[in-house]
Amino acid sequence: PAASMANVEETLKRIGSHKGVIGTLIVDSQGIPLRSTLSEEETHAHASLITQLAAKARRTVTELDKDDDLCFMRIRSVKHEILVAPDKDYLLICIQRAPSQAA
Amino acid sequence: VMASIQVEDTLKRISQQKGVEGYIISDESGNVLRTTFTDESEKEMVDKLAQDLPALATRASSAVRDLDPTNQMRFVRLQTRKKELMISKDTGFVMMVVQGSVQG
Repeated sequence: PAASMANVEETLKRIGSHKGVIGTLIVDSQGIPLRSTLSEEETHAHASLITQLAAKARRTVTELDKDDDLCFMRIRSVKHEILVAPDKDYLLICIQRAPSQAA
Repeated sequence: VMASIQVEDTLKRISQQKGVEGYIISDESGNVLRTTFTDESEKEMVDKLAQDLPALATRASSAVRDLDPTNQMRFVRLQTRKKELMISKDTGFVMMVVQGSVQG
């Protein structure tokens, strides 16, 4: 309802205001984007690719150990880092600039 | 020979890092080349990880390129309830490191 929608907006805003964050999107279990701060093109480019990757990662984890589950996934590339937080029915995806120098 | 010593040193350093349970090095098809998980009880885990993770790394790598052809994947990290899996792919090899999960 209204209260949780406000929470979602708040959270997206907070994440989005972090230095280096390029965009944030929320997709459902089918990979359909529900909310995004990226352009429509970027949103669609990322949505199904990342959803499929996360699903595969999650399957690997649960097949290895039925008591385990995927909590988070990071895909680090030269330019970016894609952060994926899975939930029961949704995926929160955040794209940020890769730190220029690894610590 | 020099490169070999450096490789050994690096592998040793990784496996001795706090929290690291071990590593698996495979080729892109998942054939295990080297692993610190040599116990019989760990065989099933090694086989499963070597079967799935290289493919996942390849998919992630393709996804990164699809999104931006000038970009390149460096590694994938999977955080699970119990542990952290780090997967890195380079020149035909896949490196998988298993770490105990960091609480907090």
